[in-house]
Amino acid sequence: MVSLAERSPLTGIAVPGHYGRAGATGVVIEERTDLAFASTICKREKHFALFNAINTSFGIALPDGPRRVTRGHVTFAGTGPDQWIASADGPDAAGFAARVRARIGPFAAVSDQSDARLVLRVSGPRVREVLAKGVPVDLHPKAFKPGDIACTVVGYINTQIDMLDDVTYQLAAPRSMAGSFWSWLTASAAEFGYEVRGS
Amino acid sequence: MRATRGSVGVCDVSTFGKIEIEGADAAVFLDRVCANTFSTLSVGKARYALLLREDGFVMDDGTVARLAPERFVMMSTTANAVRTMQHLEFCHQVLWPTLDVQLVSVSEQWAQFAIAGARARDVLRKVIDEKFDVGDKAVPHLGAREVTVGGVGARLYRLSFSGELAYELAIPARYGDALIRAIMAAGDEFGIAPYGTEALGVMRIEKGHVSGNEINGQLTARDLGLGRMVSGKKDCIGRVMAQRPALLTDDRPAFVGFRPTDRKARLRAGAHFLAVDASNTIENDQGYMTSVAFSAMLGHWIGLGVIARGPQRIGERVRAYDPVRSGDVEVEICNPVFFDPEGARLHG
Repeated sequence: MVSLAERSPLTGIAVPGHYGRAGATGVVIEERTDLAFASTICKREKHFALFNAINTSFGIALPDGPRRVTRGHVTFAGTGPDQWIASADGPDAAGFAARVRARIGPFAAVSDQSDARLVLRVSGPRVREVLAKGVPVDLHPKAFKPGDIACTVVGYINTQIDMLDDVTYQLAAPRSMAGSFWSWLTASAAEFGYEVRGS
Repeated sequence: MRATRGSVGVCDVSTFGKIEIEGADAAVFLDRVCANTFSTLSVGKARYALLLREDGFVMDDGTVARLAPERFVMMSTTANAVRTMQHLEFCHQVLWPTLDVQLVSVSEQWAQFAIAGARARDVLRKVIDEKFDVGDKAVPHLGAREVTVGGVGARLYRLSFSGELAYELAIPARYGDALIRAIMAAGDEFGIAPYGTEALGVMRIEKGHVSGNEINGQLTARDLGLGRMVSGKKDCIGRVMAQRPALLTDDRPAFVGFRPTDRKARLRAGAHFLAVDASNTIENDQGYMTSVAFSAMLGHWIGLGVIARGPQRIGERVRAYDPVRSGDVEVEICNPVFFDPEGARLHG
């Protein structure tokens, strides 16, 4: 049997270490390749059934706007009208999309998107200043709080931004744009000094 | 190209657009957006798909496979991947919001490789996990099935653009790099060669398949010789407007092949066709060359193009006049399928 090795979208691009302004670490960047994603689109007139099925199966009350709700290792984030992206890490990641489909398939179209995205977690004291260079939506704490998400663009690249806690954002961009996205992020962070952590 | 026609080749087609279409009305939706019929497509089968614009001209082509009764995947050309997704979303959200259909792009999720040539199946047998039969009965021409490679879920489509026995194997993108290495290793004993989209382009010209050069926004399915693909049994976007009288006249440009009378002469895409003795004026313009290639298999240049009443003029000679590059070559109108016109190789 053929044995297939995994390859991260940033292989050969992101190397752990400290970069940019010496003696300062304004931002910490960490790639996450351990997350599973599944797009979830409600079928016609199945909203209540879908809401109940997700509540029963995952203990999650489906958000009806651009927010994320997490329980244990599973998250549902509202990405558009009748659309969510579900994600899982840790023990729930393997076979996640198939499991979501098995639970809610009659009420929603579920597609595996685990390999479709570059996922970065960015944190640190200067993180908002870095993001402000490319993100058109307002990330001021009054406007964008932990649990909020935005589907927007960074340098014409579709990007989903999730605020995980007071200092951490999760950025998800199309896998095939990983190199360009990385160029933007690291160039934007360089003046503050940044650290790339291995996942 | 010689390797592919002679044994086996592999091409990265990961950039093709891939759209999953699901829902109780998915088949009805496809019947409305495509000129041909999909509600009759069996699960586990794929079919060429032709999309028309509202005005009746051809918008794009691709393939659609039925993965389950209410689940399809549409593969569109790379250049039109985003446009096709926007078009389908528009059709659903604006034209038919009551249809139970869900659309999602999975273009980024899947790495995909086309494996083409007489030994393609031998390569697949070594790559795909043994418990899956990839024989002609299990995966017939235009078959589609889910398989595993090294235990990883993959999708296998038997589709051919090159005219050879050919498959497309899709795998989650993180394994794409490993899969192409596995394919190259498995094909080593057959002399497998990687080929690019330029080589693919030459092979499709040899087979007379239309592509972006022909789907140029100015030609209808009828012009391109695909009129029979427009189903008369159902309605679809563009069907009515394609029936406008001016689009049904005898002198509409019609799709055919061209080869130089002097086999050593080079052809140029963009050249316009004139009668052999006609003066070089716009009034004498009969059509134009859309695609050209040097065919290594035939040993001379070949071309595809459109010319008034083309299919009725096979064997007739005209000039391919190209004032931009000082070209003026006598060509013979011929069948657009230059290579393996019987399609025997497709069935390996």
